[in-house]
Amino acid sequence: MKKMLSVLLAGALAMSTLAGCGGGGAASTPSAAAPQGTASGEKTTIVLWTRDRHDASFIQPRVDEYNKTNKDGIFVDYQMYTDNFEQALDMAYSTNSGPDLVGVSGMTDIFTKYVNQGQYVSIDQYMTAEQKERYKSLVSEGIDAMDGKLYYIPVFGSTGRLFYNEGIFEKCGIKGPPKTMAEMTKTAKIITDKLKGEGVYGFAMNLKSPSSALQRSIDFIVERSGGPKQGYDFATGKYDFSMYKEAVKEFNTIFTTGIAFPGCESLDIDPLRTQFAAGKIGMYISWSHADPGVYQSQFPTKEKWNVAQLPTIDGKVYSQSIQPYKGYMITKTCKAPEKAWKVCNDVFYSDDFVKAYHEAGLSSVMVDDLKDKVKAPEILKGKENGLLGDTDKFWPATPQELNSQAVVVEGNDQYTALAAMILGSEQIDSGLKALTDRYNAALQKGIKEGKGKEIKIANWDPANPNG
Amino acid sequence: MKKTGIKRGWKENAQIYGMLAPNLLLFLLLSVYPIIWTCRFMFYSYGGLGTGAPAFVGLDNFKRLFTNDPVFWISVKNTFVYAAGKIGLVIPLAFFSALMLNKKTLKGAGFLRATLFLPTIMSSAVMALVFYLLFNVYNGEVNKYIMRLGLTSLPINWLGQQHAMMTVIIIGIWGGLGNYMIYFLAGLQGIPEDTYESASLDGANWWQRVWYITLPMLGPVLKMILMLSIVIAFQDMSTVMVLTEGGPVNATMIMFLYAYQFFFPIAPGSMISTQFGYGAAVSVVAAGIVGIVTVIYLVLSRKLDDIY
Repeated sequence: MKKMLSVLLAGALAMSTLAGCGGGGAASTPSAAAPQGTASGEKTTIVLWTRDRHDASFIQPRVDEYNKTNKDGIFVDYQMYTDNFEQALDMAYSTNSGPDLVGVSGMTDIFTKYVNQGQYVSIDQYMTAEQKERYKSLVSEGIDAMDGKLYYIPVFGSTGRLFYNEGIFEKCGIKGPPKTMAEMTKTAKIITDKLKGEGVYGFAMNLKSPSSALQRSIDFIVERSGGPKQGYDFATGKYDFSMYKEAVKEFNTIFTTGIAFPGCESLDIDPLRTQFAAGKIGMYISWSHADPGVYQSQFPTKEKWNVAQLPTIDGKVYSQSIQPYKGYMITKTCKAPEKAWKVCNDVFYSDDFVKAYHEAGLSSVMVDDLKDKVKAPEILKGKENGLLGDTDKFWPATPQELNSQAVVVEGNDQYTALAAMILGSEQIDSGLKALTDRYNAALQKGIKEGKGKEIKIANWDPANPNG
Repeated sequence: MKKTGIKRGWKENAQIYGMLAPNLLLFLLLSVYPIIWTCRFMFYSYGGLGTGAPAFVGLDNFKRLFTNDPVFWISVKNTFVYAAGKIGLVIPLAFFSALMLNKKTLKGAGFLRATLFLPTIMSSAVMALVFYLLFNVYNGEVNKYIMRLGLTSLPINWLGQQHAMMTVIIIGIWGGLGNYMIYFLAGLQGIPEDTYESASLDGANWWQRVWYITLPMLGPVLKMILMLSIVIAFQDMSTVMVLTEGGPVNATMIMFLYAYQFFFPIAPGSMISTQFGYGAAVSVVAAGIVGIVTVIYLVLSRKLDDIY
């Protein structure tokens, strides 16, 4: 009996570990206090969820102003969520209690996953013929459109850039930012060798989250060098990570020979930025839209910094993909979609807002007829590489971007595996080969299960990814 | 006749049942239902809401787990290292802290107890952020102190591949010490004072009193504390999730964090697809491992029930 009780007790305790499994999520932090999805007085409340926090000081006053002055009886409840955004959306959609508008920042599941679920309504029905013509060049299948239907307008875009400290470069006699990966390693080594005694290092990366670090860096470097997008080669319709080899090798040299800033394995992007602002880091790679503003508001710095195009493997430049940024999707549960669309037009897609946002240095405008009308942002004066340029283009979506369930990889994902190679705990050649094999096996399985499809583009040209 | 008896039983105990009901309901809803759900979905391929209907795959998830998922087995190894490191250090430390703070003559014992207990009620996720400031290699306070003391000439990369697990264990000990100390204190206060007095009269020294009186008489309490510490150590994950996200390169990836990421992405921009079915299989096997460890412990610790 005692034995039986012991076994039962052990079983209950073990199972309690199962029940506790889902308890570790962080709470979301909506910024506004207005009740969600309700009418305040006679006004219609449009609840908007976004995960952008870095531009809150720019957007919130404009939303407040709109709430005070609009004569359409609209109140925008602007809510900012933290890293658990998708989790919050999952919960909301499963209970039909989602927001009215959802902000898009970058290529994430927030668009593809929920469009596939039918959570958003197409904005084609609300757009005028004039608007359709104006935003024609911004329509891209798998990015903001699905099956020919448009869901949001990415009025801004972002991509990866090299941020460097000009003061440190001058101190070390370095003439300019590196153009190739080998030059980047050499430049970083010069800085570390000369200034390590002062606690200054040549290069840093936020490798605490390999996906966050490598999506903004190595993926763009490889694309820019004529390689695949996130390992997916549109020319063959298959995954091929072999093009990552040279870039991984250079990063591996930086991180295994004492060149890199210490502790990058556990470094998050904000602590990295604080150290860059303190003049302790020579170079790092991040998003063009986010970091310039950070050094103005979040971590003001007296350091002389600048922005450069990313280096490539051999110096030859093809193109790198633009991440769509600052679009707003209307959800299927929105009770007043016309008013939600009005909010988009009156606030977020309005020329005044787009110009001001661009000129504040928060992102680069993508609307063709506005590109020549906007002034260069004050914080990017002399740092024009921080804006989008000729080699930044929309790339097609990969099968995994179109549906994350189409490529369910067994074992480490590409970013954890690449980080292991960069940090020297996995062989590069065999590691890349294994990665290619695992991703292709996952894609084939996804195709077989009807969840994904091979995307093969005839005459694929990485310099002109949209043909 | 019997029916009337039962009815009377219900009536007499209505207050008890009423008080139990909310807890029982919540237990059924938040513990039993998810467990049943998990046990069902471990046989399915399912990516979560809106990813298509769950597809029955039989034992495929387990086949993948046992034959084609080295990361899971790394997480199992890491969990054992973490649990052994944490329990092996926190239990003796908690015991000796309780012994010291149980002395009636000690001034400020209440303050010290409260101070040691404080970490238990603090959010481990928030504290992980504070510990990052203390342990980071480039300007962490811990390195500054040990270098000032001359213990090392170069800063230690506490959160690097080599030392990250040790750092996580240190934080785990910090968080658990006060809790176990309170349990030990409760146990110590149940030991009659005259037992010690008679042992002293017989010439027993401090260590002999601890070894021959305190420890045997704490047997049942120690058994419960050890069991709790095993279960808690095996499912600790919030500190790791915030401090290292299981890295660098899986160096601190532990079983339940590994399972968790199949349900909720833990890193921004994570490309790991949600895999509820596989995550359920990982959770059940991980729970099974904890169950086996607990059974082994219960068998080995039977002797602790005997109070001399």
